[in-house]
Amino acid sequence: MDVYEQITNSFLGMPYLDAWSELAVLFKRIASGKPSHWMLPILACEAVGGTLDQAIPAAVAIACSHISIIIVDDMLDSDPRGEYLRIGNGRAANFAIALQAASMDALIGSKASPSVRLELLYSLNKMMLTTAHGQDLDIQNPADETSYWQVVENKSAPFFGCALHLGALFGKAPGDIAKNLKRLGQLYGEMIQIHDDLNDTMAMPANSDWLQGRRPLPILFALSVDHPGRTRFMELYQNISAENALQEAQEILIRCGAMSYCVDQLLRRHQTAQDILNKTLLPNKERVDSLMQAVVAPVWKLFETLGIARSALVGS
Amino acid sequence: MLSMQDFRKWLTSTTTHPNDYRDHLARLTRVSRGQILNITSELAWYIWYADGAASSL
Repeated sequence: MDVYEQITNSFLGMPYLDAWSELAVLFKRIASGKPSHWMLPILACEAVGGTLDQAIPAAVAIACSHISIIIVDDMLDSDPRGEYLRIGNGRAANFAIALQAASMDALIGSKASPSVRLELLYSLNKMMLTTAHGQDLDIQNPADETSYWQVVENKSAPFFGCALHLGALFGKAPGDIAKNLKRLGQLYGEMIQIHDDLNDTMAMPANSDWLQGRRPLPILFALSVDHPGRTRFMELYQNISAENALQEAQEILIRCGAMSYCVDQLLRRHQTAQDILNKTLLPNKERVDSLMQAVVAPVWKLFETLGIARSALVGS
Repeated sequence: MLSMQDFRKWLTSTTTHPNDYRDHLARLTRVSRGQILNITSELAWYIWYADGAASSL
């Protein structure tokens, strides 16, 4: 059986959910897209020597949390693709609450020992609370780099940290190993957020971040730092829908070093992750290593196009 | 970790001491938009809100 079918069946087997057809349909629809993040607990469990089957309750918990967070995020961002537009704000909020409860239920109903179950629940609950705080900070549109990194730390990193942490706990990893996997997940989440910001900033036509006057990392850099194109960038930022404004603004982002800054932030986190991984004893280290390599691979590729070898950047 | 402003100063500094890492990052300020777009489109796979089912569930 496909692992996504296993996760779906496990979800549908939980109390109450078999009788809630709309929620079941929603879950199945998302599962059919095979979200890769749902695999993170399984990857962590296998990395510490556990099995896929052991990690299924963690994957269900992370799947439920993932959907719940996106439902709320879409409402906060007024995302035109959001579920709330199909079913209304009230029902969407209610679905999100149900999925958060279901994520806890997936862990409560697992075969983990009582003490591990408590640790699992604490980890998941802390993640949901921190993420909600991060979402709230984010909608206030952070205007400086301290606030920006606070949002990343609260909104983006906890989900991924928790996903690896739960998997490691189900794989019966010792406390320090599970903690290291959590930290690796957090770094992975931060890197994904930087990718997200790079993509949003360079997307064409202008992404909603531009149109709504938000400040993803490259834009925040160009607005905050002294550079020759700053005044012009500010003008373009205020009027990004004007003809050729987006293209000119994106060119300034490249010239002023905003892209270099984002790449540096990615590489620093990747190096930190490598350092943690090197000192963490894992039976199947390659599972986590490949995850961390994949998230930085596009950066290596960019440097390769410039004739710069990866070896020239590692350990710098 | 360097602040954004300090990073910009470091990136554009012209000391006599060669710093390969800084020089490599500085080269990114001279790439074309197309080169960056190639990479950011590849990055899209990793974006967590777009993961699997896209932000539209």
